[in-house]
Amino acid sequence: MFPVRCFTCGSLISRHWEEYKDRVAKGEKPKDVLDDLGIKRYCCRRIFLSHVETIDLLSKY
Amino acid sequence: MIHVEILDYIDTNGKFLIKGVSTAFINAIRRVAMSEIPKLAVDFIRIYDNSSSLYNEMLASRIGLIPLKTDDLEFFKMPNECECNGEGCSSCQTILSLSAEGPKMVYSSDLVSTDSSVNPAYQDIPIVKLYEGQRVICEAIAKLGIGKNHAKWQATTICAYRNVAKIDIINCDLCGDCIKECPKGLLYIDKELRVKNILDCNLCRLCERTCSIDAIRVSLDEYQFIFNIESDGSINVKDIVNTAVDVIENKLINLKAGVAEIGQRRRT
Repeated sequence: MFPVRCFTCGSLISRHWEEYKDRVAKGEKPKDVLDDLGIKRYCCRRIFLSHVETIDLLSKY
Repeated sequence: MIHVEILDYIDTNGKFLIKGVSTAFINAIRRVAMSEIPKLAVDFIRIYDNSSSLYNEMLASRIGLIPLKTDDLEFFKMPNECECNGEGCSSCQTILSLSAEGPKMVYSSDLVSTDSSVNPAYQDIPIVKLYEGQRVICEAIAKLGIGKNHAKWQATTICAYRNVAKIDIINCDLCGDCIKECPKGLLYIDKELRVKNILDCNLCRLCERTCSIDAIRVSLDEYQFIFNIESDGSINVKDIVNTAVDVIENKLINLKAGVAEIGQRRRT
Protein backbone atom coordinates (compact mmCIF):
# COMPACT_ATOMS: atom_id res chain seq x y z
CA MET A 1 0.00 0.00 0.00
CA PHE A 2 1.07 3.54 -0.66
CA PRO A 3 2.32 5.30 2.54
CA VAL A 4 -0.27 7.54 4.20
CA ARG A 5 2.29 10.22 4.90
CA CYS A 6 5.62 11.30 3.52
CA PHE A 7 8.40 9.61 5.50
CA THR A 8 10.38 12.81 5.77
CA CYS A 9 8.01 15.74 6.11
CA GLY A 10 4.78 14.05 7.24
CA SER A 11 2.60 15.61 4.57
CA LEU A 12 -0.50 13.62 3.60
CA ILE A 13 0.29 12.12 0.23
CA SER A 14 -1.74 8.92 -0.05
CA ARG A 15 -4.91 10.75 -1.06
CA HIS A 16 -3.25 11.81 -4.30
CA TRP A 17 -1.88 8.37 -5.19
CA GLU A 18 -4.83 7.00 -7.13
CA GLU A 19 -5.17 10.08 -9.29
CA TYR A 20 -1.43 10.04 -9.91
CA LYS A 21 -1.48 6.38 -10.86
CA ASP A 22 -4.38 6.79 -13.29
CA ARG A 23 -2.98 9.85 -14.95
CA VAL A 24 0.49 8.38 -15.39
CA ALA A 25 -1.05 5.20 -16.83
CA LYS A 26 -2.85 7.38 -19.38
CA GLY A 27 0.51 8.68 -20.54
CA GLU A 28 1.00 11.97 -18.70
CA LYS A 29 4.48 12.84 -17.48
CA PRO A 30 4.94 12.12 -13.75
CA LYS A 31 6.51 15.56 -13.31
CA ASP A 32 3.48 17.37 -14.68
CA VAL A 33 1.05 15.30 -12.61
CA LEU A 34 2.99 15.91 -9.39
CA ASP A 35 3.19 19.65 -10.10
CA ASP A 36 -0.51 19.68 -10.80
CA LEU A 37 -1.35 17.83 -7.58
CA GLY A 38 0.67 20.37 -5.59
CA ILE A 39 3.34 17.98 -4.37
CA LYS A 40 6.24 20.34 -4.46
CA ARG A 41 8.89 18.92 -2.11
CA TYR A 42 11.27 16.30 -3.37
CA CYS A 43 10.86 14.17 -0.25
CA CYS A 44 7.20 13.55 -1.16
CA ARG A 45 7.84 13.30 -4.89
CA ARG A 46 10.39 10.51 -4.58
CA ILE A 47 7.80 8.33 -2.83
CA PHE A 48 5.41 8.69 -5.78
CA LEU A 49 8.12 8.06 -8.33
CA SER A 50 9.61 5.01 -6.67
CA HIS A 51 6.51 3.29 -5.28
CA VAL A 52 5.65 -0.28 -6.30
CA GLU A 53 2.18 -1.46 -5.34
CA THR A 54 3.16 -4.83 -3.83
CA ILE A 55 -0.35 -5.47 -2.51
CA ASP A 56 -1.47 -6.13 -6.10
CA LEU A 57 1.40 -8.54 -6.68
CA LEU A 58 0.89 -10.43 -3.41
CA SER A 59 -2.86 -10.76 -3.65
CA LYS A 60 -2.55 -13.52 -6.26
CA TYR A 61 -1.14 -15.93 -3.70
CA MET B 1 7.69 46.18 18.70
CA ILE B 2 6.62 43.01 16.95
CA HIS B 3 5.31 43.44 13.45
CA VAL B 4 3.63 40.55 11.67
CA GLU B 5 2.71 40.56 8.02
CA ILE B 6 0.81 37.71 6.37
CA LEU B 7 2.41 36.90 3.04
CA ASP B 8 0.29 33.92 2.16
CA TYR B 9 -2.53 32.21 3.99
CA ILE B 10 -4.91 29.33 3.45
CA ASP B 11 -6.17 27.10 6.27
CA THR B 12 -3.51 24.46 5.71
CA ASN B 13 -0.60 26.70 4.85
CA GLY B 14 0.68 29.98 6.19
CA LYS B 15 3.63 32.21 5.45
CA PHE B 16 4.34 35.16 7.70
CA LEU B 17 6.90 37.91 7.80
CA ILE B 18 7.78 38.64 11.41
CA LYS B 19 9.86 41.67 12.33
CA GLY B 20 11.40 42.72 15.60
CA VAL B 21 11.78 39.40 17.41
CA SER B 22 14.83 37.40 18.40
CA THR B 23 15.78 33.97 17.08
CA ALA B 24 15.04 32.48 20.51
CA PHE B 25 11.49 33.81 20.47
CA ILE B 26 10.59 32.53 17.04
CA ASN B 27 12.32 29.21 17.71
CA ALA B 28 10.18 28.76 20.82
CA ILE B 29 7.05 29.17 18.70
CA ARG B 30 8.37 26.73 16.12
CA ARG B 31 9.23 24.08 18.69
CA VAL B 32 5.92 24.35 20.50
CA ALA B 33 3.93 24.35 17.23
CA MET B 34 5.67 21.17 16.21
CA SER B 35 5.64 19.22 19.43
CA GLU B 36 3.18 20.53 22.00
CA ILE B 37 -0.11 21.27 20.26
CA PRO B 38 -2.73 18.79 21.50
CA LYS B 39 -4.66 17.04 18.77
CA LEU B 40 -6.70 13.90 18.29
CA ALA B 41 -5.30 10.74 16.73
CA VAL B 42 -6.13 7.06 16.90
CA ASP B 43 -4.05 5.61 19.71
CA PHE B 44 -5.57 2.23 20.43
CA ILE B 45 -7.19 -0.25 18.09
CA ARG B 46 -9.25 -3.38 18.65
CA ILE B 47 -9.15 -5.72 15.68
CA TYR B 48 -12.01 -8.21 15.50
CA ASP B 49 -11.28 -9.51 12.06
CA ASN B 50 -8.50 -8.81 9.60
CA SER B 51 -8.07 -11.08 6.63
CA SER B 52 -6.54 -8.36 4.44
CA SER B 53 -3.01 -8.53 3.03
CA LEU B 54 -1.76 -6.11 5.68
CA TYR B 55 -0.63 -7.11 9.16
CA ASN B 56 -2.65 -5.82 12.10
CA GLU B 57 0.24 -3.53 13.12
CA MET B 58 0.45 -2.03 9.66
CA LEU B 59 -3.28 -1.40 9.61
CA ALA B 60 -3.08 0.24 13.03
CA SER B 61 -0.22 2.46 11.92
CA ARG B 62 -2.09 3.57 8.81
CA ILE B 63 -5.25 4.38 10.74
CA GLY B 64 -3.21 6.24 13.38
CA LEU B 65 -1.68 8.55 10.77
CA ILE B 66 -5.05 9.77 9.49
CA PRO B 67 -5.60 13.32 10.78
CA LEU B 68 -8.86 13.73 12.68
CA LYS B 69 -10.76 16.97 12.68
CA THR B 70 -12.90 18.18 15.58
CA ASP B 71 -15.27 21.08 15.86
CA ASP B 72 -14.44 21.55 19.49
CA LEU B 73 -10.94 20.59 20.51
CA GLU B 74 -11.33 22.32 23.89
CA PHE B 75 -13.92 19.73 24.85
CA PHE B 76 -11.36 16.93 24.97
CA LYS B 77 -8.97 16.51 27.84
CA MET B 78 -5.56 14.87 27.86
CA PRO B 79 -5.98 11.25 29.10
CA ASN B 80 -3.71 11.83 32.13
CA GLU B 81 -5.55 15.01 33.16
CA CYS B 82 -9.03 13.57 32.78
CA GLU B 83 -11.29 12.78 35.74
CA CYS B 84 -11.29 9.11 34.74
CA ASN B 85 -7.52 8.89 35.44
CA GLY B 86 -6.72 7.71 31.93
CA GLU B 87 -9.14 4.80 31.96
CA GLY B 88 -11.05 6.31 29.10
CA CYS B 89 -14.34 8.20 29.10
CA SER B 90 -16.32 10.31 26.65
CA SER B 91 -14.46 13.49 27.57
CA CYS B 92 -11.03 12.12 26.70
CA GLN B 93 -11.62 9.67 23.86
CA THR B 94 -13.78 8.88 20.86
CA ILE B 95 -14.43 5.57 19.17
CA LEU B 96 -14.37 5.18 15.41
CA SER B 97 -15.47 1.91 13.93
CA LEU B 98 -14.47 0.42 10.64
CA SER B 99 -16.05 -2.52 8.91
CA ALA B 100 -15.52 -3.39 5.27
CA GLU B 101 -15.66 -6.39 3.04
CA GLY B 102 -13.85 -6.90 -0.26
CA PRO B 103 -13.49 -6.43 -3.09
CA LYS B 104 -13.07 -2.70 -2.45
CA MET B 105 -10.66 0.03 -1.46
CA VAL B 106 -11.19 1.08 2.15
CA TYR B 107 -11.01 4.86 2.56
CA SER B 108 -10.89 7.05 5.63
CA SER B 109 -14.55 7.88 4.90
CA ASP B 110 -15.37 4.29 5.98
CA LEU B 111 -14.35 5.19 9.53
CA VAL B 112 -17.63 5.80 11.33
CA SER B 113 -17.32 8.00 14.37
CA THR B 114 -19.55 7.68 17.42
CA ASP B 115 -19.14 11.40 18.03
CA SER B 116 -20.44 13.35 15.04
CA SER B 117 -18.03 16.24 15.73
CA VAL B 118 -14.94 14.03 15.26
CA ASN B 119 -14.20 12.99 11.70
CA PRO B 120 -11.23 12.32 9.45
CA ALA B 121 -9.97 15.61 7.99
CA TYR B 122 -9.94 14.11 4.51
CA GLN B 123 -12.37 11.50 3.27
CA ASP B 124 -10.22 10.07 0.49
CA ILE B 125 -7.22 8.57 2.30
CA PRO B 126 -6.80 4.92 1.26
CA ILE B 127 -6.38 2.59 4.25
CA VAL B 128 -6.25 -0.85 2.68
CA LYS B 129 -7.17 -2.55 -0.56
CA LEU B 130 -9.39 -5.60 -0.03
CA TYR B 131 -9.75 -8.41 -2.50
CA GLU B 132 -12.51 -10.99 -2.89
CA GLY B 133 -13.36 -12.61 0.45
CA GLN B 134 -11.15 -10.34 2.57
CA ARG B 135 -12.58 -8.51 5.53
CA VAL B 136 -11.60 -5.88 8.08
CA ILE B 137 -13.60 -5.19 11.22
CA CYS B 138 -12.06 -3.02 13.89
CA GLU B 139 -12.65 -0.33 16.43
CA ALA B 140 -10.24 2.58 16.71
CA ILE B 141 -9.98 4.74 19.81
CA ALA B 142 -8.87 8.32 19.28
CA LYS B 143 -7.21 10.19 22.11
CA LEU B 144 -5.65 13.57 22.59
CA GLY B 145 -1.88 13.73 22.51
CA ILE B 146 1.10 15.91 21.65
CA GLY B 147 3.70 15.66 18.90
CA LYS B 148 6.45 15.08 21.45
CA ASN B 149 5.11 11.56 22.06
CA HIS B 150 4.33 10.46 18.52
CA ALA B 151 4.38 12.01 15.04
CA LYS B 152 0.69 11.18 14.56
CA TRP B 153 -0.12 13.87 17.13
CA GLN B 154 1.94 16.44 15.30
CA ALA B 155 -0.37 19.07 13.87
CA THR B 156 2.22 20.61 11.55
CA THR B 157 4.13 19.08 8.70
CA ILE B 158 6.44 21.89 7.67
CA CYS B 159 7.18 24.38 10.41
CA ALA B 160 10.28 26.42 9.76
CA TYR B 161 11.66 29.94 9.71
CA ARG B 162 14.53 31.63 8.00
CA ASN B 163 16.14 35.00 8.27
CA VAL B 164 15.46 37.71 5.75
CA ALA B 165 18.57 38.63 3.81
CA LYS B 166 20.32 41.96 3.95
CA ILE B 167 22.18 42.92 0.79
CA ASP B 168 24.70 45.75 0.95
CA ILE B 169 26.13 47.17 -2.25
CA ILE B 170 29.18 49.39 -1.98
CA ASN B 171 31.29 50.82 -4.86
CA CYS B 172 29.71 48.65 -7.55
CA ASP B 173 31.26 48.95 -11.04
CA LEU B 174 28.08 47.67 -12.79
CA CYS B 175 29.82 44.73 -14.49
CA GLY B 176 26.59 42.68 -14.24
CA ASP B 177 28.22 39.35 -13.36
CA CYS B 178 26.10 38.91 -10.24
CA ILE B 179 22.86 39.46 -12.19
CA LYS B 180 23.61 36.43 -14.36
CA GLU B 181 24.69 34.37 -11.37
CA CYS B 182 21.64 34.93 -9.12
CA PRO B 183 19.41 31.81 -9.40
CA LYS B 184 16.34 33.78 -8.30
CA GLY B 185 16.98 36.65 -10.70
CA LEU B 186 16.73 39.23 -7.93
CA LEU B 187 19.26 41.78 -9.12
CA TYR B 188 18.90 44.37 -11.86
CA ILE B 189 20.57 47.57 -12.95
CA ASP B 190 18.69 50.83 -12.94
CA LYS B 191 21.50 53.41 -12.93
CA GLU B 192 22.89 51.47 -9.99
CA LEU B 193 22.63 47.83 -8.88
CA ARG B 194 19.28 47.19 -7.21
CA VAL B 195 17.45 44.31 -5.55
CA LYS B 196 13.87 43.36 -6.57
CA ASN B 197 12.26 41.51 -3.67
CA ILE B 198 14.57 40.88 -0.77
CA LEU B 199 12.21 38.25 0.71
CA ASP B 200 12.92 35.92 -2.21
CA CYS B 201 16.66 35.83 -1.53
CA ASN B 202 17.61 32.39 -0.25
CA LEU B 203 21.05 33.45 0.96
CA CYS B 204 23.02 31.30 -1.49
CA ARG B 205 25.70 34.02 -1.71
CA LEU B 206 26.56 33.22 -5.32
CA CYS B 207 26.52 36.93 -6.13
CA GLU B 208 29.03 37.57 -3.37
CA ARG B 209 31.32 34.84 -4.72
CA THR B 210 31.27 36.03 -8.36
CA CYS B 211 31.93 39.67 -7.55
CA SER B 212 35.60 40.32 -8.28
CA ILE B 213 35.77 43.59 -6.36
CA ASP B 214 33.74 42.53 -3.27
CA ALA B 215 31.14 45.20 -3.90
CA ILE B 216 28.16 43.09 -2.85
CA ARG B 217 27.70 41.68 0.65
CA VAL B 218 24.92 39.32 1.72
CA SER B 219 24.20 38.99 5.43
CA LEU B 220 21.37 37.97 7.74
CA ASP B 221 18.89 40.38 9.20
CA GLU B 222 18.84 39.00 12.73
CA TYR B 223 15.46 40.44 13.67
CA GLN B 224 13.39 39.63 10.59
CA PHE B 225 12.07 36.20 9.79
CA ILE B 226 9.95 34.42 7.26
CA PHE B 227 7.94 31.81 9.11
CA ASN B 228 6.47 29.02 7.06
CA ILE B 229 3.95 26.71 8.61
CA GLU B 230 1.90 23.94 7.06
CA SER B 231 -0.85 22.00 8.80
CA ASP B 232 -1.79 18.37 8.15
CA GLY B 233 -5.46 19.34 7.93
CA SER B 234 -6.58 18.54 11.47
CA ILE B 235 -6.19 22.05 12.90
CA ASN B 236 -5.92 25.19 10.81
CA VAL B 237 -2.72 27.23 10.84
CA LYS B 238 -4.25 30.18 12.67
CA ASP B 239 -5.32 27.96 15.58
CA ILE B 240 -1.93 26.24 15.68
CA VAL B 241 -0.11 29.55 16.09
CA ASN B 242 -2.63 30.79 18.68
CA THR B 243 -2.42 27.58 20.70
CA ALA B 244 1.37 27.63 20.49
CA VAL B 245 1.42 31.09 22.06
CA ASP B 246 -1.00 29.94 24.79
CA VAL B 247 1.16 26.90 25.56
CA ILE B 248 4.29 29.08 25.88
CA GLU B 249 2.39 31.47 28.13
CA ASN B 250 1.28 28.62 30.43
CA LYS B 251 4.81 27.31 30.56
CA LEU B 252 6.09 30.73 31.61
CA ILE B 253 3.41 31.03 34.30
CA ASN B 254 4.48 27.63 35.65
CA LEU B 255 8.10 28.68 35.56
CA LYS B 256 7.33 31.86 37.48
CA ALA B 257 5.38 29.94 40.12
CA GLY B 258 8.18 27.37 40.38
CA VAL B 259 10.85 30.01 40.86
CA ALA B 260 8.72 31.79 43.48
CA GLU B 261 8.31 28.52 45.37
CA ILE B 262 12.04 27.86 45.40
CA GLY B 263 12.62 31.42 46.64
CA GLN B 264 10.18 30.91 49.47
CA ARG B 265 11.72 27.58 50.46
CA ARG B 266 15.16 29.25 50.67
CA ARG B 267 13.86 31.90 53.04
CA THR B 268 12.29 29.48 55.52
